[in-house]
Amino acid sequence: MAFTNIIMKGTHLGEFEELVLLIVGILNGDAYGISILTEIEEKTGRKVTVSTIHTALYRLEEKEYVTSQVGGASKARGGRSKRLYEITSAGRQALEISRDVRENLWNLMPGK
Amino acid sequence: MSSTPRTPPKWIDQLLEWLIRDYFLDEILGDLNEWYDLNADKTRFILNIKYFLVAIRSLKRYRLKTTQNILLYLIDMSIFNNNFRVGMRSILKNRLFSSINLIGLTTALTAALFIYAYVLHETSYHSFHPKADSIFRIINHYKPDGSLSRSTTSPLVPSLLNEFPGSAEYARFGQDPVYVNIEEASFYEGNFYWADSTLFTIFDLEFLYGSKQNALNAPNKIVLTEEVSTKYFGEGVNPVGKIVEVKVYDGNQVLSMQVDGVLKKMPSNQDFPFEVLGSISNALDMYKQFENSWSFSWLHTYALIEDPNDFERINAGTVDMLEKHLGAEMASEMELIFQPLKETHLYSQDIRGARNDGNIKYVIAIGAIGIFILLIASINYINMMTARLYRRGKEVGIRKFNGASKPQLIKLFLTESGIVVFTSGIVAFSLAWLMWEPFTVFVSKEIPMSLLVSKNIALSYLVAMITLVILAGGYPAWILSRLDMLKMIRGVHEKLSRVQLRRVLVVLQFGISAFLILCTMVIWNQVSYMSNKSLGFNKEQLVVVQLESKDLQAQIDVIKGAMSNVSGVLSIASSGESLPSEMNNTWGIEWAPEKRMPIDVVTIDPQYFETIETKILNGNNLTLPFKSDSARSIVINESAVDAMNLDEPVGKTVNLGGRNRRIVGVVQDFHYQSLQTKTEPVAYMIGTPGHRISADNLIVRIKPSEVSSTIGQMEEVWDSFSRNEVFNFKFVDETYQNSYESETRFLQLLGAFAVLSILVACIGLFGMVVFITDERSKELSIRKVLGAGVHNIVMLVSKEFTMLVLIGFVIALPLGILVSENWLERFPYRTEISILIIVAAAGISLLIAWLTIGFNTVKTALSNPVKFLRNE
Repeated sequence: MAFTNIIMKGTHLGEFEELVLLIVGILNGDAYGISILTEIEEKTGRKVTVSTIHTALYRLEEKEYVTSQVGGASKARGGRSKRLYEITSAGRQALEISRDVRENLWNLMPGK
Repeated sequence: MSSTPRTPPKWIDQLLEWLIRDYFLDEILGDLNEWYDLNADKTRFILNIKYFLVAIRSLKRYRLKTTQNILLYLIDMSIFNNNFRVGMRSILKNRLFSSINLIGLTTALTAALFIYAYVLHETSYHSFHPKADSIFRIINHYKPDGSLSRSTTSPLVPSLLNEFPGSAEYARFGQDPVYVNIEEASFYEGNFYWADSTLFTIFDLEFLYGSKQNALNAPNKIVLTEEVSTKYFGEGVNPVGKIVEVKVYDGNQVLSMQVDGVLKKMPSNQDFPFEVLGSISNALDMYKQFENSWSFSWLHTYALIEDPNDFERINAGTVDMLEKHLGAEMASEMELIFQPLKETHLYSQDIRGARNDGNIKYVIAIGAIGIFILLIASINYINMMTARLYRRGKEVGIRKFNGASKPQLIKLFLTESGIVVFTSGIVAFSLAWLMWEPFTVFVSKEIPMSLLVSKNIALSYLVAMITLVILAGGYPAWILSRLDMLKMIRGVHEKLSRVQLRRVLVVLQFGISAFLILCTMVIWNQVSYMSNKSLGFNKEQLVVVQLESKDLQAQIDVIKGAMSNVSGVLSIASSGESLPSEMNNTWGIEWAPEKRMPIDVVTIDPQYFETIETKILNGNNLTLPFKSDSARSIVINESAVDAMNLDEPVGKTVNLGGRNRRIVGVVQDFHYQSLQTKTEPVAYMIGTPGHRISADNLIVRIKPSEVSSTIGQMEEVWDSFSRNEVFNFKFVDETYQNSYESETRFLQLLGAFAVLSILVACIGLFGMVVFITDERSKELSIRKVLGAGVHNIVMLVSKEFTMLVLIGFVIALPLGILVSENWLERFPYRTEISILIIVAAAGISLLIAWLTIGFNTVKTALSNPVKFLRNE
């Protein structure tokens, strides 16, 4: 199948990573550890810890699906600055491929 | 989000800060904090635990700093820590005081490390055996004279096994000097012991070659120590299975024995004397005559009793057992004592023949000195700090004024003392490390260096340093933080100048030093008294030659005759006892009906008294049998005359050893043993070869100018008689000196540590004097301008310290006398603590103090007064 060529070795998108990547996209410039955490809890009802999200973000950044920059601090953060994440075009493409794969597979599912 | 967020536990954040790389730190910590804040409505305790767990999970390897980075971070933290900076600044500003503190503390800590290692080593004897707590040495207690002996009889262990079956294991070993012949070579083994095979199950003795399973379990087997094996067969050779010839003199047998194994070198904290072990079954067979003898003691017996109930039963039951074998009358005089194995090293001074150098009193004394030295050093530190109080007072006042809280001030001082103490601590540790070798040589013990890094020492060292920090930093901090800040800023310090503690501490320091000086001098006096006191005979140029072999003993008169022809031999005699004598034979003497006592018996020849140069006070010397009935003649010493209370001893007939004998002479009491033992009643008589008490030593007086050539010629004579026995000789004066080894070594240790403690005290005193002369420099300069001479100024400053040192001495004196008296008590021939010693000790204390004070005061007194008066 054609799309398999695009997925390079080591850039496979895990299930949780995909979720985080989607949230980063949704939050559109306001994505950092805690906002992602609350968003996931709100939208999916899943309980996750901060460190899992950090790990996922780190992997995504390594795969160049997200970029990050240092953002503002707040009192609740103990005066420490945020790291804000943004989805890259490669990230968006990876999400699209992932969605396409799924859709293709759904199309192959025999009807009821 | 609340406006004043609750913050998570600081230490967790701190931990993450130390460990996580900067790149991730803000993100992770910020998010974690925010998360904590989000969940702030939950129970604090549970939340904190959750926070900790989450924080731990964020410690991923890729986020961690390298070790190097962590170290750098810690250094950064401490350097930029304000307390550290201020502390360092104050230390560097007062270079002189800081170096005095550092030198004093380093010396004290090094000494303390050595002392602690020594004490640990001494108290750890035999503890490496896994079952050490259940092992006991059986001690024979003879009640009438209270004597203790570690020798037991042949039938003891069989009876114990018979009486209390299955509840204990026993291991015996008995000394028997032998010659070991390997091919052409012959080795004298003084430390050959017959031993039970159970020795290897009771004790943890590791084998280099062979195995402990069947070692010594049958006759004609031997086990060697590593050292002896190397001597016999060379390094790295496995001798198991080889046959050696063992010549036993007492048993008059030659045995072919097979090497069963080689023992690994034993740890240095044990004092088993054996070098070669032979199957005890050989000995039990050879000395069958002692099989049922309850009077001949020759075996060291160790018991392993693991069940405390069994121990109680056996310990209580030995009374009945002895009664069964000895009869009620004799048994009532005897007692078996079970001495715990771990106590055998330090608590055996009173046990006869126990030639170990351990003594719990010495260990306690050395340990106490260690604490003294640390005490003196911390006093130095406290003194310096309090002395400088009012200089620091201004600083502290301003700090207080600016809002520094008490805990902050205390922290500041603790940091400062922490820097000093830990720097000294590290230097002292390195010094101890470097000087370990000389130290072990000095105490002549192979104390393993691994002890230095053992948990025990490391922990105590840390605790000692922290205590020092708190003691030395805490006290000045406590005083300063309590004082009125306004007065401090204005420089009013009447409250401070009244601080008397400083004086008390100087008194204490010099009291301790004077105490150590006094004790050292008393011990030195006693030891030199013992080595120099006239023994009642002339021990110089006197040589003892021992004849181990029964063959040679039979020819002793012939050998003596041949040796007397050697030109350098002034005179020669034979004797049943060496010098110093062990007095192995004690008989009963009855001088009037129902008047009996034990007396030591020595076989000699007519030349004996003349050779050792002692005097016959009364009557005649012994003569050879053919001239009169001298086989029945005896000479007794003064102690015997006193003990029997005889007015006219010469000519009296007494019953000695079941025979009537006539006293023909009285010899003066001479010290046939070292001065640690009292001279007991002794009877001398002429003997013929072939008895237990027969002469087996030649005592030779040699011309001082021809010592080595004479000994060479004597050896030639010896070789013409002996087949392969080694010519074995000892100088009497050396042997006597060696018996004071334990005292001499203690004196060395005590002396060295006393010098160290005095040194540390002097370092402190020096600092104090420097400080005082500095403080009073203006006053002294004005005095000088007004015409005071150098001696006036020196007197002025020294007066106070002289008083303090003298008060210290006066306090130390009674204590020193008490302790020294206690030590001197156990010597039958002892010195008294004379006024001379006391004056000398006081003189030394004062002299040392004056020398320390003098240098600086004279310097101040000589300096140009303008120097101090110019700037106001």
